[in-house]
Amino acid sequence: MALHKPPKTYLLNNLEKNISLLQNYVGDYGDMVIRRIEREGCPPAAVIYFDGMTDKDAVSEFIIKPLLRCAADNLRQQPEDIAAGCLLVADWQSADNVQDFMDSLFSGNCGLLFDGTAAGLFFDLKGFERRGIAEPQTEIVVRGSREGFIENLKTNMSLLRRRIKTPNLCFENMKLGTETNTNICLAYIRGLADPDVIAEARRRLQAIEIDSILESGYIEQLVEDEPWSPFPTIANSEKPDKVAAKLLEGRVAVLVDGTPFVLTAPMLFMESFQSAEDYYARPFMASMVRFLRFISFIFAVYGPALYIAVCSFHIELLPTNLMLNIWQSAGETPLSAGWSVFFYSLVYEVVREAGIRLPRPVGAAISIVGGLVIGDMAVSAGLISAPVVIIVAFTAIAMFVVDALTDAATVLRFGFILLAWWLGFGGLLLGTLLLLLHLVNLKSFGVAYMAPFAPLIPYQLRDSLVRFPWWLLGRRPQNLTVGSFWRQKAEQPPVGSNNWGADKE
Amino acid sequence: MKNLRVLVAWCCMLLPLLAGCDLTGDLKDVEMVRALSVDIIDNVDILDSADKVEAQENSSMISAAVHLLHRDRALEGQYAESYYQLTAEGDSLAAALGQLYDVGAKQLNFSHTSLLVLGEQAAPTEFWLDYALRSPQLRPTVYPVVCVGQIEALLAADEQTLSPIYLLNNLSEPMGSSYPGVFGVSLQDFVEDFYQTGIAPALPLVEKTADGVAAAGLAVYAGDKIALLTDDDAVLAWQLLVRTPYLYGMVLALDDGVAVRLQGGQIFIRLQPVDRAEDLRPVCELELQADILNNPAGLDTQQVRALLNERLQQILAVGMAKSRRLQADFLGIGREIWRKQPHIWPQIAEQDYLSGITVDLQTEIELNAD
Repeated sequence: MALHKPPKTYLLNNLEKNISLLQNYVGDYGDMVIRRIEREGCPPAAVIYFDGMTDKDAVSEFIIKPLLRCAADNLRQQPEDIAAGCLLVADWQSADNVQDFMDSLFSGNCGLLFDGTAAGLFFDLKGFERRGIAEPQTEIVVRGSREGFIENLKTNMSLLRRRIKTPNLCFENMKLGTETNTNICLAYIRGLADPDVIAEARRRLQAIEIDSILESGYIEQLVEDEPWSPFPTIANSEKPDKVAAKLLEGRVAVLVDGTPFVLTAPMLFMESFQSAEDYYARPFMASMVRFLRFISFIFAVYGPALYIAVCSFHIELLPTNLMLNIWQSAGETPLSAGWSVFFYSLVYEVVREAGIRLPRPVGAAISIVGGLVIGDMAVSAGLISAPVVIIVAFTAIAMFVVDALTDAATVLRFGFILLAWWLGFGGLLLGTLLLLLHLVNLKSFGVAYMAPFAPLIPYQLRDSLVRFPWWLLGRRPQNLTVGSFWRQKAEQPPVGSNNWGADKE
Repeated sequence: MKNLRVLVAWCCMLLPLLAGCDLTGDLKDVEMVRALSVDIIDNVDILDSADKVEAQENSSMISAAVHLLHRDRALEGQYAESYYQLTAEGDSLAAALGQLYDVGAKQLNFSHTSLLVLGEQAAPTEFWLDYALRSPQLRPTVYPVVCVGQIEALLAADEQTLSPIYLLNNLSEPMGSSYPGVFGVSLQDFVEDFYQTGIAPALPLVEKTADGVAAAGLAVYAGDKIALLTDDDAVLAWQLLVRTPYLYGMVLALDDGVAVRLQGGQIFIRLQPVDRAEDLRPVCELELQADILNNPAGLDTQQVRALLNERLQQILAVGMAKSRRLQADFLGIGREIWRKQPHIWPQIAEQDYLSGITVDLQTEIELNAD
């Protein structure tokens, strides 16, 4: 059911009535500033803005001062002509109804109304406090750009534009959220992004009917393909270089005002194991690290479940010496392997949640208390065995290696714990088969989630579990890109590798 | 709906995988059996009856003992104090073990049992092989050994001394876990030989010594009989011909005080195609790598090689002589004939074929003087 939208109220020719309309529209707003400008022989005007959201100095300097100083004849022109001829603001627009006019003021713009004109101008003179561009906390790299997106949409767009200086980079603006009127921007590169994907993204965004968009997570959950899947089918990033790289592979991005997290789609499963740094480092290290991430993810999902399955069902699989260690430790605890792992995993999740939500100094203390003290004391008190602490702790570390899949790994981990507890390796096999069935059925904006493995796209395996050298990654992903597949000359070795020194000798 | 049907179909197909999932026991609830020993105890009351021999056969009871690790001393498993023992008796091994489950405080777990110690009287396969093969818990990697005399005497040890279980394990796996030595005949190996044509399976024979336990020879299974083979050279012949891949570390003493340590070897028994059994003349081609361990006489490599060759010929001769005398082909010559000259085998299978066959030995020895 569509949300109710009130009918538009159009501006009138009378300044006082227009001001009344605006005041009625917003109610008792103590922070709305109305500065009337009255000059002899000129129609009265009013500058309207919200205190704290608009740059007052800029309003005085670029709007009020020119209005007071320009020739009276100029002020008798149409408002658009006044803006073009007298005022010193580059970015302005006009609105003929109260809703659009006020929406722009809510965004921090400065409004201007003239008596005798049934339209208002608004100028981009936002002046609210904003965070400076800083290194993203969630995607720290050793090598690569330190810039991160911020909460300002225009700044974020500029960060992309600075990296992709092509006329084909397109930004489509829209507003979502009937109450928040959040500015959204759909970004893509014309000629690289699949038009069907662009159209589908546009359609899904326009289909959103909700009162508020406070973060890009709202949009992600409202437009994703599989809302019941633990796996994300829309990626997000705080790094402009990463989003730019994805746009250059033919993906689309959704920027949302008020959040530094930019969404990109379509998303592939393998994308979660890729880091921006993989492409800046040499391929050998990048490949090894990427493989380690994959192993870590597997361990994060299966580690505790494997422990339970082995300790409860398949003791014979352990080498004798290892078994004796675990057996000795387990004998001192009252809980079975299943209960121990389940209980301590829950404890870990509580500690993690507390550590994240609390202020940083306290959070760090909680982590130490949780990680060291509780674990150590639980072992000393004989509640759980030391191997369980090691397994759960290492799982927790491994889980954060693949940041994008942390949530999925957490959910799956508990699922596999229960299956292993119930059926041992049979349960793990059952869970794995169901998981694989689910994964190969997933699609993100029409693109198979498990590509390039299923369906198999051999060329793209070069940038999957391993990363080939750049000169062997000539083609863009064919399942994401249309038009220009080649991003460089086909498999041309590095320029310096053709015995340059030999010629000199 | 279609997806649901596919899911249900998958689950149905996976159900057979759940077979055996009820045989579970959490690690904290199980007791680890490191060795299972089987012996025969005679019923003394019946022995006094008129028909003594028959009564003895009919009244024998099987005594089964499990040697368990103390949980809090499991990691110091080399000492006798790390183990404790539960014993039960029954008409059969299965019945005795069934009683053991009843007296065991927790579940007995045989998944890491490494030894199956058989008393001299319990060594015939009728007492233990059927159970060992059918038991879902005993692994085929378990090492059966036959002890001279009663097991009780073999496994008795003071708490502070090295455990006989530990010593027997070392005897079976001198190079460490999962690396069997020449005496490490696994249940799997034994059963393969047992059901193989042309070879008499053998198990290591162990005995109590002042230092603990030591290898005493071989228990050779010849049909329904068991022959205890204690001749050193005959045992060496078995090791060289049957256990060739596991020779690493074995020390051979030669004349003049020379000793060599074997590093490895390969055996190939060559048989030229013949039409008559009398023409069979197997040639054992033995390749050995060895280090000279002791050479007080300062012999050169060539001389040591000659000494070693001479010793190997002697070992084979003794082994063959023993094999002929026992009429038990524990060296596996018949198996090679069956494999390589299958048309000859039916002619000799029921005969004492070893008496009519001469086996030659060709050696190729790589000696390392360092």
